[in-house]
Amino acid sequence: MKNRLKELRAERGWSQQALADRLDVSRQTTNALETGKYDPSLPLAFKIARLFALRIEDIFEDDNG
Amino acid sequence: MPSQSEKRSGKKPSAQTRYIVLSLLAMAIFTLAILVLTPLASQNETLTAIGFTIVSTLPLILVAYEFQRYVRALDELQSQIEMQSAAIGFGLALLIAAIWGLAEGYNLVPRISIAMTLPLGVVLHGAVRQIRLWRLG
Repeated sequence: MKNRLKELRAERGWSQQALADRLDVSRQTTNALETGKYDPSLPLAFKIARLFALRIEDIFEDDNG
Repeated sequence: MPSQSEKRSGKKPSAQTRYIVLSLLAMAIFTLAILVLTPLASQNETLTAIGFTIVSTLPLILVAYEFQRYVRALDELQSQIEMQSAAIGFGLALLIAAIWGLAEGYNLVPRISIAMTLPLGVVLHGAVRQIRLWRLG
């Protein structure tokens, strides 16, 4: 699944660790999310959406969509 | 008090390090207990054998406790990796134990206690976890 996490993080000048701290996950998980190696659970996707004040579909894009 | 993410990021001694060190230590004690106590237990009365069994089991209880403590401290991806690695690691250990058992039946290899599957499983679990973490980058 494609996503805009890296772009949104860069806009705010946050490091991967800073984003990880805000989401209460590891830096490794943040990296896996950004590179599309891991798709988040629905609760984590909502947490990410709330953090960036966006809708889930504004951040994540279905590959088949 | 460090936050969950601080614990996960490795700023403090991580739950992973604690689990790896304690589980390997416990498995070493378990292996030693089996190697030393099993021949002794067979020469002693039932009560002594029960005592030896309990002593040998204590490290396993420690590993089980540490594992649930460790998994609860992880985030969702780490937890998923841990559970999948455990399934693959212990699955491989069972496969090796079954093959070893067959080879024992044909007198190809020395007889080893089936309980040795557990330390093997812990080591394979750790190896699979590290490979998966390395592949994630």
